[in-house]
Amino acid sequence: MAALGQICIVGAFGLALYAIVSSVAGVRIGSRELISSGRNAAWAVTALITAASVTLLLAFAVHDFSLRYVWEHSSRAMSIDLVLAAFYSGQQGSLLYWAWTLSLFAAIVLWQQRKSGPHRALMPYVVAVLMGVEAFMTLLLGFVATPFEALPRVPTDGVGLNPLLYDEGMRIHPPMLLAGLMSWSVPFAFAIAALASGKLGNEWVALSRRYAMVAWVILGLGNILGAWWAYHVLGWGGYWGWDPVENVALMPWLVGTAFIHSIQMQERRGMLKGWNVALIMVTFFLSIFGTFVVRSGILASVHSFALSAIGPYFLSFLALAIVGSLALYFWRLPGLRSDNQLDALLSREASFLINNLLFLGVAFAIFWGTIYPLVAEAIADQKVSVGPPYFKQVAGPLLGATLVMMGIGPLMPWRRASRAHVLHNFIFPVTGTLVGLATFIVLGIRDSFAVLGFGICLFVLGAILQEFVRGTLARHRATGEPYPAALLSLIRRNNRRYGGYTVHLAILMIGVGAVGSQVYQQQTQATLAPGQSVTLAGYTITAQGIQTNQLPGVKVIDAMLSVNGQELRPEKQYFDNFPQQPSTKVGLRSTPFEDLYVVLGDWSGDGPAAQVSLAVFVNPLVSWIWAGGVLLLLGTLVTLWPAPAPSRQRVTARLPRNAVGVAP
Amino acid sequence: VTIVRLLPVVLVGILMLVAPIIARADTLDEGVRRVGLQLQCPVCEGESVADSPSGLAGDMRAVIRARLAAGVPDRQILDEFVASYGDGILTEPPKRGISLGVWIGPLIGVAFGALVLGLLLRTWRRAPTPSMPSSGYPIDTDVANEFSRYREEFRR
Repeated sequence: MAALGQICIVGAFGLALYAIVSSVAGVRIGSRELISSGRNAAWAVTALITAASVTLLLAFAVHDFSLRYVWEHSSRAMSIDLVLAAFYSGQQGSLLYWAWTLSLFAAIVLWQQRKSGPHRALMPYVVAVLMGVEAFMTLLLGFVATPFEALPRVPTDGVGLNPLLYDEGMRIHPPMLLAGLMSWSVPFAFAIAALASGKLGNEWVALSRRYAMVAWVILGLGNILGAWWAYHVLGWGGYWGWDPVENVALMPWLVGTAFIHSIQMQERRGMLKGWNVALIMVTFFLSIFGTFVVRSGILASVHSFALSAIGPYFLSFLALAIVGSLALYFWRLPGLRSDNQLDALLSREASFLINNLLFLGVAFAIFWGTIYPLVAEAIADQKVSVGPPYFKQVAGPLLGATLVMMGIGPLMPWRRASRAHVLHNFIFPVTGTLVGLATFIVLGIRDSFAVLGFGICLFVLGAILQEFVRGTLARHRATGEPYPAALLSLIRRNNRRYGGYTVHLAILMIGVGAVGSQVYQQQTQATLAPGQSVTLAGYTITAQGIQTNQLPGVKVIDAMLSVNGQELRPEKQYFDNFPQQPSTKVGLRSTPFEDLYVVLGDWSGDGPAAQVSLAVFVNPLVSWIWAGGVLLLLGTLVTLWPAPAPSRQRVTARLPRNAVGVAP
Repeated sequence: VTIVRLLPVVLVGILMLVAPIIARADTLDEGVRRVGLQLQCPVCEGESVADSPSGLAGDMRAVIRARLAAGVPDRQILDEFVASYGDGILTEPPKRGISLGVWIGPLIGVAFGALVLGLLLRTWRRAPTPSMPSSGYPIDTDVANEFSRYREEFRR
């Protein structure tokens, strides 16, 4: 099996290189045969990497411990779904997963753009760029970090999976996140193809925008799933720790968000052509950087960076990609001039520009804080920790400002807003916000951060609802449809616009959850003998000892608690393979308003007489974040849904001369 | 005028009434968490002393608890940890020495971005804007000349 997998990878590497040369040469000398040969090679790369991935999955399924990777990441005691999840639990496997999903995406792009059209001139270069990335990954997989390394002697059992991965969140979060980082390669490929071919018109913009939306939602969900996993497994009461690994996956998403906004300036007004190319380039570079950091954890120290085998390769690839992209960019710069000028500061265009400044500002602040420990170590040999307080103080205000822009932007018309227009659009959201805030203050929400945060959320909510209401009313007047039907067909017929607003609502829900849990989290710790209780925010938690269950391969300790009369069981799991690394399962009771979150820290004694140490949190509004994630997916799907055909089509076919007519 | 003069007195009065409430709400556990959140666990990656399950973090929490119980203010406890572990122990990088750079970076970045954007907006605004809505297609120079002649005539 090792040989088969290895042959597939090396074959894919060779074919990927061939596809690049063939596609580019085909365009240059105008040979259709070479171009289609390059395309076929890309299909073959997809087939080979799929074969390699299936080989590795099979090796896991049959417990082939002659492979070092299988031996390191699985054991006979593991159930089949876990064994298959072990595929992407280590560095080599997750790089293979990345390469595999990229090859599948490349195949989908080839299939979707198979018909002839104005985008045809772009496609050979798109193939070349995607295969360039693929060649780099297969180079790593074939020669540096191969998952198909054989062991000299076959062990009888494997080491097993890292305990953190036993959770279902960990089974979907990493593949989502890696796929999200991977998928920015596609819009990037279209941008590079536009530069290389000189077709700088609207073809690449429309395609790149759609694929960028796909990448945006996958990476966004990957991040939200990561937060959800951290929340219910890591047991520190929060969901986002501003950890380097989290930050590097957030940065491409932020710059990508700037891209999917500013690309509309080009679509509608022919502006910011060069800027958009630059944005998608930066997003792609950050995605490659993110993949690298996520898979090697190098940001802990300069020294671990130098030790990592894949480090120099990633840096070289990144340097090559940056230099190549910049060269193309400056070569084509004269063709990237704007068709139009900015008409007024009060306009949609200007608010998109401010949006871009803010998103790039946040991304830069996070980037700077994330790499700064490395910088300080390299230039001054000093250890600096950059923890959550830094990111909250620096990124927090900028993120708040992006939220404000989310309210202002959609209310601004393209080109120029008149004073009357501004007044007409802002009067309701602003009045609503003031009334809402007054209600909040009367109800007792007086923390300044909460008032500011919820105030921004109210304003944005008002702005978005106003758009929905006005649209529905207008449609009701025009067509006479009843209101619910008018709303639905409004969304159906303007899916990009109202899908976008739905995504904004989702972001708003995440914002509400973040503000609520940030400001109003309550926490206490207690060590309780059986029968003793602790009270926090109206929850009375009574201890009733522990229960120990020995399951195959894992010992599970349950704290037996009752919360206001109902049972709650936070867990500690000790895996036989990793006894030093217990994993936590938080005892969680969720409502739309708040979560009760109980972590079993320690215990002494056994059975019903045991004494337990608990950390208890009450986290308000956290479930809004997860609901926001679901709405985010829905809104993006609405946006990407193919637009309906125009409602009325003239019948153009002639009736046959001898047709039987129906009297009117 | 008398009301303005009385204002500080009223404020101090309110503070004196409120202060004991604030102080009482602040238990020792909360203090340990408050201080612990500001310290980086030296043996773990990315976890604070308040959250880390490691033994060293537990010992550090015990030290914090003892110092708080002895009435030592937060600032001084943090300084004691900095004295033995260096600035790297703080989760919030101090605004001094090499750590200052991490705070200045984003400020410079955003200020630079705003400056570029501002200059860009200015040049765009200065550029003569076409009074006809542009269709996105370049207009033939002859046609453009024709248009401007009409406009001239219209103004007369």
